[in-house]
Amino acid sequence: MMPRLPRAQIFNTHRLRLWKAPGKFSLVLLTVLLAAGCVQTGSLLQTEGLSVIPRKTRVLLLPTDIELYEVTAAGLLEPKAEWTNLAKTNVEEALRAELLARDDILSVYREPADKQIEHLHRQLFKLHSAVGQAIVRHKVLANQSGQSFELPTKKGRFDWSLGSATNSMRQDDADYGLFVYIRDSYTSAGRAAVIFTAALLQNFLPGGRLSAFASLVDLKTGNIVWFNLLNVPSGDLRTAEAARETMSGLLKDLPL
Amino acid sequence: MKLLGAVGLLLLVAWGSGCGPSGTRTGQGAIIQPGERPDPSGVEADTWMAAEKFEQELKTSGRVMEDPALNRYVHGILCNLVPDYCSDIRVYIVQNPDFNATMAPNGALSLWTGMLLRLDNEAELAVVLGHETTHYLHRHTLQWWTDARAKLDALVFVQLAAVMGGAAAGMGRVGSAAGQVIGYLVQGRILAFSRDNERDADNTGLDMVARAGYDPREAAEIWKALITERDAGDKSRPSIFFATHPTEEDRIAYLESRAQRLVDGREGLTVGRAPYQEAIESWRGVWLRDELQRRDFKVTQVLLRRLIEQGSNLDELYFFRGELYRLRGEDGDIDEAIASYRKALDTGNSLAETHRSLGLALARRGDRAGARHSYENYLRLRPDAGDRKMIEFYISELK
Amino acid sequence: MKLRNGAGLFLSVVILCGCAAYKLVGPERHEITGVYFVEPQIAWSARQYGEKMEVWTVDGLQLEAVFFLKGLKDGEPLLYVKERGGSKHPPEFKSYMNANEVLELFVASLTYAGRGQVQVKDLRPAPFGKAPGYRFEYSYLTVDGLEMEGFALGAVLNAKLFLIMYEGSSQYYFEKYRADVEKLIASISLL
Repeated sequence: MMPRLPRAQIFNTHRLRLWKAPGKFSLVLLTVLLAAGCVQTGSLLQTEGLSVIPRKTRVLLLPTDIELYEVTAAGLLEPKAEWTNLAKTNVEEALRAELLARDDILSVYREPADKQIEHLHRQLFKLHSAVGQAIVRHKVLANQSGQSFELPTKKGRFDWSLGSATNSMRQDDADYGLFVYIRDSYTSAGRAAVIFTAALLQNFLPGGRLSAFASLVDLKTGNIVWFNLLNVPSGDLRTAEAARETMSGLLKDLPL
Repeated sequence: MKLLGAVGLLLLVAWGSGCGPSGTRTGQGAIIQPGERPDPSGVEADTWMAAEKFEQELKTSGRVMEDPALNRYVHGILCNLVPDYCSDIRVYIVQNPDFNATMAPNGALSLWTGMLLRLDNEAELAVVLGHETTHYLHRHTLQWWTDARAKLDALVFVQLAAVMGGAAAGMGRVGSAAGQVIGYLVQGRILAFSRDNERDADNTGLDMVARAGYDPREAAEIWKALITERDAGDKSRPSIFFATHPTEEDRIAYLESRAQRLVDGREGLTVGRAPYQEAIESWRGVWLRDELQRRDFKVTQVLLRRLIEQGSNLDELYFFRGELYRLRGEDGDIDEAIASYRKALDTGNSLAETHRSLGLALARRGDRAGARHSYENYLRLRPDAGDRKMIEFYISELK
Repeated sequence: MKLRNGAGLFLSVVILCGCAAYKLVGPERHEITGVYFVEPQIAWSARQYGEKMEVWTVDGLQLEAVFFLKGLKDGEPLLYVKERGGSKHPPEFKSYMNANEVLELFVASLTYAGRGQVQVKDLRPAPFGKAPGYRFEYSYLTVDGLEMEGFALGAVLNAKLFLIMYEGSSQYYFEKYRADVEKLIASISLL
């Protein structure tokens, strides 16, 4: 079994209200999860006015962008197609279950017949992955490594978007889309000891970690209205149980 | 982590993703039957599903060549080899300048354009297809993928998972995955390929080739050409292929002897040089351009030398030889480039771009009149040139 | 850090200091390396990578970026890639290079860095301030298959290569600041 921290150690929440800047969106940093001695953070960003999502909103679940890696003793990451395929199945089942348990109407993405639209959607999925990484790099984990990567142009703002081409994704008249991105890596036993003595995140993908983020996107505008990052030591997403637990943690504060 | 391309392997050959660790058994279970699908409740079914997803990624990676004529030709050779499995095996032509072919447990076969560029004839293509197909038919691939999945907690993974995984994630990854694997090799952690499975794929593949009427003696030629390239390349960078396959001298020897026995005085075996060259003719220029982009000039030189010796479409080959020298730009190279471009033009048949490149080379040499003349030729032959305005500017500067 | 897209292409020099990596560049006239001025048009987050490279972005380098290559000398590569073993070197600028050859250098560099399906088009003379320069449009795929597009303006001044490249994801981000960057390059004034 892969090393995993008991959940009790994870939560140590502080509610912080950081900035409020003029303009369309303001940033309200709701929760920063700190755990002394643990190398993980989860954090949440959302735009104001989000609390008023009406019940019975239709949400489209998009395909998960997921990859699993092994961390070699030399610290290299090897992508593992086998593991990825297994984990993807587990994760998507868990996401469907999570959304069904909430009081909204779930629509699961279906590939469009039109090749051009299919291509457009694929590009939007990949764009989301890039945007999410930018959010993590420049906002959520901007101050991790002794140097700040905050963007002055994003000071007090949380206004990333995928652009209004997301309108083409309003399958079944969905108003919002949920996009999930997961990179998870597992170490061979020899490295496990190193993990727990490792310093805080130096790279986005250090060895033996799960990095998962989710975005809720307003499909009419493409604007990301809710974002959460889970960055914890790996559970084993190749098992259904761990997948359920991880997705539950990821979507805990989803305003649906 | 190494950036893609920066680590471009000389020759990455994973002939048969089913070339698995030495733990894989040969001949376990019956040969896969035409139209066979695994029992949905069995272990093999999961493996099959993973392979289906891999194939899906492959299809949408943006690097699969769609040209119907080329695909028809290649698939046609496969159907000659194994008519009963003609519809069970899908062939994907992947645009990547490295020499490689992979086979997934569900019959998705990929051939990389670096390999197609280097093969000489139909018989050689049949050899490759026969080798890959054997891995599929004898369940090497299925066994290996299933074993790998069962060993999820194992410490060491076969490098092909990385290659396959890299391939599945969007072909461009293969460079870096393979590069990491080489790091692995250097540290001595990689398991060698199963010699049994490789030998089986070679032998059964050759039998298939001969039975279909192709000349099995071509198999050894593929290897000989690969080795010449390898020997010319960067010695400090170990090739994943040569580090994991049975030694080349052995392989060539037993391929040659087995081929001789199969031929056994038979006449009229197909080598098929002309149809193969014709099938790849319209793409070879693109693949040569991709090959040059690898910037492994010594290896490309060896390849070009061999292709020039064989003599198909020499104008194209002299042009690319000129490009190699012009881009490498070492002492004396610019003169070699000029000579090559002129040889290309002498065939009477060459592309407009030859004139442009000759112009660039002459300009560098200080031959202003010559350069201007060449640029003018280029524009005359290529009226819709995308860089017309730039070339017109050079001409005006050279007056 | 796994480097992606245009960000990864030119950047491998990481400045280690306990300070902010990105500084604000306002719309007022701004000097680039003592050689020319530009009018940035909008606010940007700017980051230096060694002496030769400066990058501006609003949303993040993987999404859109303006690269300023500030005076590459003969024999220097466009890329700053740390080679780990092996003898392959990234392609180098030579001061004799004309526009076509710089274009080849650009394509070779992007391919070397792992960008897929690099396409360039419409190479043509274009002013770099008052100096004669050239411009081309380009596109490529990132390692993850995201389509990116951009354009570049270049000139060789005093045997050194100056380039300004603007690129962004074909979906949404390239278009977002395209007009602003066109105005930016039109505003180049050489010192």
